[in-house]
Amino acid sequence: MAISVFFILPIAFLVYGSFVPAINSHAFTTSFIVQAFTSPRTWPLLVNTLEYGLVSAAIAVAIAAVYAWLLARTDIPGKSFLKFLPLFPLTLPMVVKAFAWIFLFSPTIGLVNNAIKTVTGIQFPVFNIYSMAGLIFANAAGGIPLAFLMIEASLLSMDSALEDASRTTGGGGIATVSRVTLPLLTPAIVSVFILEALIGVESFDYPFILGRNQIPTLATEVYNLVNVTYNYALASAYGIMFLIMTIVLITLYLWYVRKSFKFVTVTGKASRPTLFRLGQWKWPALLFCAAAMLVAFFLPFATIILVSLVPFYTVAPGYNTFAVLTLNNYVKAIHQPLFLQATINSFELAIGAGVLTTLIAAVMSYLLVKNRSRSKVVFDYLSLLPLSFPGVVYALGLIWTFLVIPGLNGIYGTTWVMLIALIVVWLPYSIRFMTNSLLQVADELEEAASVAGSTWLRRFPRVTLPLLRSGFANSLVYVMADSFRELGAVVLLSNAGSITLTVLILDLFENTASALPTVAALSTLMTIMISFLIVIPRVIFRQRVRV
Amino acid sequence: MALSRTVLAVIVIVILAIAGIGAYTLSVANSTVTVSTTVTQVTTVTQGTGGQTVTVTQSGTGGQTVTQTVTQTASGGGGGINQTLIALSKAEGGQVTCYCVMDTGDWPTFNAILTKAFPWIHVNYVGLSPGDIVTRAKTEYQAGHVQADILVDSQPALMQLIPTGALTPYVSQEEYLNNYSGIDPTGYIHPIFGLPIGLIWNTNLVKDNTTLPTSWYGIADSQWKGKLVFDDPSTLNLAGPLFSSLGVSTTNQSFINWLNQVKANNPIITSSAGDAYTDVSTGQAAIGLGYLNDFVGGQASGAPVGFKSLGNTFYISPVPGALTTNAPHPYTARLLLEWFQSYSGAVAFSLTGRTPVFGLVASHYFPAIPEGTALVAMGANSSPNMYVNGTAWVNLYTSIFGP
Repeated sequence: MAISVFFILPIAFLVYGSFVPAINSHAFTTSFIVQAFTSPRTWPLLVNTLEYGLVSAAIAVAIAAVYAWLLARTDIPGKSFLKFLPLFPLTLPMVVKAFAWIFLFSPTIGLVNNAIKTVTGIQFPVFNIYSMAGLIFANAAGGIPLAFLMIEASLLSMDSALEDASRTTGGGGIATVSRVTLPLLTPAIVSVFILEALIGVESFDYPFILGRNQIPTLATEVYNLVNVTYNYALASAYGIMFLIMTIVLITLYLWYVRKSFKFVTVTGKASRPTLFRLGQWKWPALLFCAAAMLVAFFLPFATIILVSLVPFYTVAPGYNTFAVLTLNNYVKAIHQPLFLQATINSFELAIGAGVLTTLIAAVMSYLLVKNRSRSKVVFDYLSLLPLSFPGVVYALGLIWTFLVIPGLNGIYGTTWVMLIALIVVWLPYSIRFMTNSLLQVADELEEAASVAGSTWLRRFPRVTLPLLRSGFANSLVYVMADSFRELGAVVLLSNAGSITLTVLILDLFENTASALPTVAALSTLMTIMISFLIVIPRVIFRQRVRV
Repeated sequence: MALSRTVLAVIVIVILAIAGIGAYTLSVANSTVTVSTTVTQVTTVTQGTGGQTVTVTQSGTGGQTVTQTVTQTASGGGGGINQTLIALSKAEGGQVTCYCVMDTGDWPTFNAILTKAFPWIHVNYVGLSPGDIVTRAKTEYQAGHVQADILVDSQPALMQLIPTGALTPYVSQEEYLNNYSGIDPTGYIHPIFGLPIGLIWNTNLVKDNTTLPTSWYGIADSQWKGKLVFDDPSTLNLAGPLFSSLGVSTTNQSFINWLNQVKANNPIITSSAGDAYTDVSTGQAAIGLGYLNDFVGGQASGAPVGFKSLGNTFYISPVPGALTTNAPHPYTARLLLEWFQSYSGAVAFSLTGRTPVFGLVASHYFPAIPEGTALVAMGANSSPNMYVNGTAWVNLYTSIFGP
């Protein structure tokens, strides 16, 4: 309940802020709301935003669902390697990835376009990253890790007895998937689609960098209002639109999963998931996974590595961009004055935020799923509230919360503020991970423990949590990785001793444009560090399956 | 586990109570206060090997108005800082919190030079983006919980804070030793360093320098159609202020016609000046508008980029410092500000690739700026003043360059 306070207060301040010219003013007015909703600029912004967010979410979820199913339910080869690959896009900061996409798919200097030109002789650029299609592609590629982690966790929690029954009674692979697996997975798929859609409509990095002022979205408009014209009231008013979108999407989701018993598969009976034999489809399936990961991660990462190995990056007719390779950028990166402090801070914040967020989410998800009172609906909305405003606006709400509330302003300016803010920001994601897994778990296991005399404090960690190991592990991985590489709203609360690697990279990137190769080197080093945060929990919490 | 309605109601009441306490706290944190004070300060400083004498008289009433008379006779550079201020800073303890746009990674270079001059000073340095500095400073002031003692930010950003009362005026002695033309007579904004701007071009794509524009108006020439890049003027970062310096007024029709010609050249418009530099250096554009420090940084690694200032004026994007109202450590903040503007501080800025407004130091460390060159703040003569009323310029640029 205390955590709910942190969800509500920033939103409350932001809603209040949309009705007053300054946060300490009492001159209430609806002019900002009216301006936001009736401005001729608003409709094109909304159309761009919805197109970008919804289409990229659909693509990411579709690719991730197929990938997760292949891993969790088939005998695809190379599984122990394939299961880590979808997580690697989490290791690159979005700003750096944006430039990787430019270097790959720019109409003028893109490596892919130039390669196609060289091989085929086609003179016009085949790909244009500076287009709505380019934005959707970039965001969809970035959305695959989250979608994969959530859907995979649900699949691994799902008892395969119903699928076995379908195959035993003559249902083929496609029939089993379409009539049994997909319907059981629907809550997870719908949940992750809503989450991806919300992230997409709020994200501004790609529209800002790749949109090039020609594809404005609500998020870029809000960013300009906060950081260029400092019109916080109008920014908050636009934020109300996001709040409305969030409420609509949550309502749809809650209506769909209102009969949660339909999706329960993990019961008191012993079970282990069985795998579907792909046979001749094994290699096309492997090709699909490899292609997805090549585009989503390996191409941009390889580009970043190449940029990190050159003294400067330039493309010109007759000029060999990679003629001179050097490790000097890595030397410069490691010799950045605050590199070591930033690395330590990053690990501390990421691990602290990951563990605490996941534990809190486990308890909150339990309350959400197992609570049969009407108040459950309220907490369902509350748990997703932090997603209802773009990060740049939500940061305003956070800073107000920490400055104004008695007791909290004592820790303002300390690293504790950043940790609490990280937990608040990532909790909605973590709750979705745990909730999707919990929906698959029946009550009878806990009821059995309760009948045997176990208290809730004893049975929750010993009975319920082990059943949620996939969701737990994936939540831990996602929150740790994202806390390490993206600070978003939290960077506004940073203080003198809290510099992280992401801040170091962004500082260098924004203040010294010529330092792009050094930024690429720092990003590569960061990818290696985050890889440890990804691999270790998944190894610890791995779940064995029967072939 | 079901929650009873009673428990839910209690939770809602607690949340509303906390929010109510917060709102009340907020409303009294910065009520309108009328202060009548008369401040008269006369400081006479004679110091330095250059033999300069600076006399500063400051008087004002109402707390927000400063009238100052400055008599300065100076020869040569160098200087010293008021010993009274030094003593007050020591008595304060030497702590100071600075929100600054400079890379956090560059701060140790500064700190090494600063602590040699003032060993008792400990700076809590927080590196933030220009917008984040405004947000934090404004929010902290309105909440009555000011943490930052001194801000270093872009001039458009700091100007936004003046009407909110979050900044306090101050007469800086070191400021008047510079030949910088952008000194703020109200005393709120104190020039520290600037980002000289110029034309940048890709030397692989433009092999004949004689084809380059010789004035800023030349970027509208059709030979640069599709080959020109600059940052979004409506962000008032680089292109916006530069254009306002050329056109002076938002109603100047010939200026508006010229802007439309530039638009007709189908320029690449980026979200920042850094992105514009990247476009030129990577070969996506042939020419663009960029900062000197980006060029210097790239030159060191051999990037194929050229730089030159156009016309007779060397424009800079000013990055000033400002003191906060109700600062926890006001005297050390003033000392730090004075040091930023001194010869020693100017050298520290130069060592991190930033151009100080101290002209003598700037031309020594940056050969592209000839000795004696006046550094002119972009947009300072614009009408309406771009830093005071940026909205008029934003609207003009948005109407032409969209969207």
